[in-house]
Amino acid sequence: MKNLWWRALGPVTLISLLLTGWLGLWVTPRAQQQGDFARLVYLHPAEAWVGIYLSFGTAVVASGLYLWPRTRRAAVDLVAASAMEVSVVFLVLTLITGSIWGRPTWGVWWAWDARLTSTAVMAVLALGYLAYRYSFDDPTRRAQRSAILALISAVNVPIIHFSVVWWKTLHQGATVLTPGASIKIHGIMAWTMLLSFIAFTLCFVWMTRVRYLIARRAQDGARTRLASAIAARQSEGGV
Amino acid sequence: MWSTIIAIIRVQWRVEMRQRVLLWQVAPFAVMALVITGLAANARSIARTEVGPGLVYVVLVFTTLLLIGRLFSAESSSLSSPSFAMLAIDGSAAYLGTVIALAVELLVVTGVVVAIAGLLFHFSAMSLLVATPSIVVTIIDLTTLGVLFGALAARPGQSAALLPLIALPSFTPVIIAGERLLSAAVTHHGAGQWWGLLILMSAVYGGIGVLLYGVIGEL
Repeated sequence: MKNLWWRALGPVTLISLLLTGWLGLWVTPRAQQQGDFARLVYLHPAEAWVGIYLSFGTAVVASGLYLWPRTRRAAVDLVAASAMEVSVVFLVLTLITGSIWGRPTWGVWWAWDARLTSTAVMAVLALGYLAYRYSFDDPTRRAQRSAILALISAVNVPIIHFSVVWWKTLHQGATVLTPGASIKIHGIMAWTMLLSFIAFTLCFVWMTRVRYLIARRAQDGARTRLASAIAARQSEGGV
Repeated sequence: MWSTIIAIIRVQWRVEMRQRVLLWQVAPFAVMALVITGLAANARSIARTEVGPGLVYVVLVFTTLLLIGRLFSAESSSLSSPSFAMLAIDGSAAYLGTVIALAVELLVVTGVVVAIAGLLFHFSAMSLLVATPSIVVTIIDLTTLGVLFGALAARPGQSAALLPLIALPSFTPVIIAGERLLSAAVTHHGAGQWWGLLILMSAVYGGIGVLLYGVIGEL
């Protein structure tokens, strides 16, 4: 049953992404002021949700679990690394689509806006984690130190966010999660946006799982090679 | 604990007194970096009071990274780090001692940089005096964070590019807050909320450093 669910995940993700694309490009209406550029609302916020909150959050939670002695497993560490890699992908996509949206709205590809800047800083933070992680050969040290770095970085994420917001912002306010709970998107547009969030969340789960499986096989392969090298050496010496 | 802190501060300063890297290498680097960034930002224009505070902090951030990189490369290439663990030195005391020693060294360089910046960007002596408390707290923040990341990045044969890559994103709020407060002092505007951020950063990262520095050293 569990395997069936995982097997179905890829096709379900693909179908939900295609459905979002179809609804976003052909079914939903053009916006009054922004025209077709407003269709990025079915792409950009969902990417930001996955890149900033879901993947980064998963990596941080997995790192915390790794540092907790009772939940310390190599698999948890690999989940943290896989989620952070997915986070980098979605953070870069968020920056690219944000830039494409910013050009007709603000007249420039890049503005020193709070959310753009904090997203760029977060992308560097995630890249720094990966660079740090892959600078270690010993898997245990790599896992322990990377987990500490992830937790220290996580503490800084809200501070970075608020500092940049205080600094300056041009970015439009929240569309769905507004302070007074007054949703600014309705009808088919709201449903398409909701579907985009579901589709990208599924996409995150699928990508993280695939990356995790690849990392686990690489780790198992390294262990097997080491064991066979030791066995070969022992047989040479007649041990 | 205090005896360990004082011992570490004395060791750090004794190394500095012998090598004189701060005076003959780091301070000239900071001044040169300030002049070059001023030229690159075309700071001769009327906007020099706007760009000046930011350039001061860019230079101070790179100086901090230089000092921390130097400190931890010396420790990771010698036997001093393992000997700390073997001598059962308290990790939190080692962290606080290193932060205090480095903060004082950095404040010396900052004094030189800010004085030169005052001349180059026409900051008044009064505005620099007003900005002094914020500069001191910003330097303490940079050191608190920098020592923590320096300990994480320290390893024999480690690439020198890794420390800036992991530390710079976390320096961002400190740079923004420091720049805003220095700008406010130069242009005589209020920027009170940034004080809260600087103090919060000191408390949060000081606390994390005290708790984790010893653990990081043992991993």
